[in-house]
Amino acid sequence: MDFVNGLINSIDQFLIAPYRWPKNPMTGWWLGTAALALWATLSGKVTMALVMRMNLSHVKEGLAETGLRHTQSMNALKAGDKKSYKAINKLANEAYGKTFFLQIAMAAASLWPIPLALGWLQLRFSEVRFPLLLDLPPLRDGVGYAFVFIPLYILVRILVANVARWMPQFRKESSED
Amino acid sequence: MKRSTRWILCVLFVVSVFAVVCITATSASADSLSEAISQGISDGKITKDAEPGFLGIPGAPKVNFILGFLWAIWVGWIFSTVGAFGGIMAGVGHITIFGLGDYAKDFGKGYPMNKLLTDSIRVSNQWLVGLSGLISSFNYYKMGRLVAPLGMCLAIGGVGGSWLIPDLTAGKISLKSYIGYFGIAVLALGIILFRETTKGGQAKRKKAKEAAAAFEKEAKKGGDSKQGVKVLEGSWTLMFVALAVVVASALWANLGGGAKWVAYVLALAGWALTFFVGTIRFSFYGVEFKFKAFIPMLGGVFIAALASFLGVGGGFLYVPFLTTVAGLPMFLVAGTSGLVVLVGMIVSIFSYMVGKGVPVQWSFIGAELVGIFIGSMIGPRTSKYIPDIWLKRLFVLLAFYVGLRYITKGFLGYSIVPPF
Repeated sequence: MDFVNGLINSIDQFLIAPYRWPKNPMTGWWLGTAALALWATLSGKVTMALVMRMNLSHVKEGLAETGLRHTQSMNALKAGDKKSYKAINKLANEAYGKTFFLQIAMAAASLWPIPLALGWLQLRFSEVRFPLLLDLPPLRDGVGYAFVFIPLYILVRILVANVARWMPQFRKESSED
Repeated sequence: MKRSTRWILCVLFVVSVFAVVCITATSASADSLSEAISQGISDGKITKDAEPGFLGIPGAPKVNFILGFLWAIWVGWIFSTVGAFGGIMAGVGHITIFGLGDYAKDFGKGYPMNKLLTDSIRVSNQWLVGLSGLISSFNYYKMGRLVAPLGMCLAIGGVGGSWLIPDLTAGKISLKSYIGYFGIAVLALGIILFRETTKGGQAKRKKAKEAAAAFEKEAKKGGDSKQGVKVLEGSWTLMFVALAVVVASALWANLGGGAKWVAYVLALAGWALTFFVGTIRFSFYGVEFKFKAFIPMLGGVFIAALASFLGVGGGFLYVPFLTTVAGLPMFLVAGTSGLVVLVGMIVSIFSYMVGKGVPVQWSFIGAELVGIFIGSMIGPRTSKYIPDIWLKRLFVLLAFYVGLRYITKGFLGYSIVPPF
């Protein structure tokens, strides 16, 4: 068995536990999925904090150069020097591009638990369909695990962000601060 | 009419179209993966009892997670040192490194399993970049560095282009053709990078730095980079209507079981409306900018269609389009292009996964994301030892190698560069 699926199987009992706590299976489904969303959010936050700590100075340098080149280009434009504006704007775009793609790669530190959570849900709940209140032809088969997990993850993430504002160790997560 | 009222009317229009689709549409189509496997078994191309591999297909290659993880570290390193080429490298991994391309080709041109695997590779490429784009777009929205009318016009074109191309091509492109087109895009990028490394390109860069130094004094005084965008002229009503109509076309195309012509008509109507929006003027940093609404719309169609077809973000196309054609300053290009890439990718991925039911191997995507953020930590530490120009030269070489290999393999059936 491959390493990742082995990892998913090894934490299977831990992840399925909240689903079994309530007697009602539907309550168990919502509790367990909310707990999964919470673990995915917290794991992402911890790894993101680590990556930010390691890369913060590099990101700040890149943003400082980007800001400087941008201001220079706008001053050239205000002075009516279109040729200089275009040339300096190109430098600004290069500086921005490097920092932007660095931040995209760093963002993976926050998001990596999502596909693993979806992979585990696929192993456990791929056959489960939830009928909707209204009988809508395109969704007559009901909806699957992803339809529930993704909105729940977004909600949990917003709630955790609001709580984290009060916790100093998570305040520097955004490199724009 | 207040802007919030326009947004509410927009949302109501889209919801009502969704309701009409749901009431009148036929049932969703059956699971395409199961159908492709059943057909493969009945044609003798898949052994029913073989050990399941990629996507659970019996006999498919077991994706090597260690290789995928190491390749993802390489992709993360590229993102954090050079930038845009990372998405292309992710695509190369999915096509070549993990053996999926060769497995798909074995089924032969036109075979359903070949086409399904091609579509899955395209969607896997998009998930990686699309998930990350979500973070950057949200940040730029918070900072107010989006030009709303420009973003809307680009999105009007982008949303239509993002569903039309999957609709026209999903299940119809063989892996061989896809590789050929992917190779053309990579070679084009290599040529653009190469121009920057020539003596002429380097001289231009030197001149730009000298010009920048001339404005150094003003910059150090502390230019006000927090001046916001002020829209001075533009028909908001028509823009909102056009956006709502195009989004409705995407919903109809993805969820409606029949009458696809309605979706095509809605998309064309949305695009046509931008020709009546006229000129949009806005000021930023005390400087006035203007553009005709249909120009970013056409750019959005072309770029989103290309990005959706190849499965990579299109970010590297939006930036030169916005700076060269629209002449926008970098701060505005950054936020606006990030949002449009995200909107285009959401619709494109949604179209693939809901409209056509293409499967994705989640565990593999997760392993790749871990590799990417590890690569992002290594990149800043190595970049101080490798000059920019040599990084660019390395990627020009890679782009030419990958481009030539994919173009010739895709269109000639054999590679002109080793391994042959």
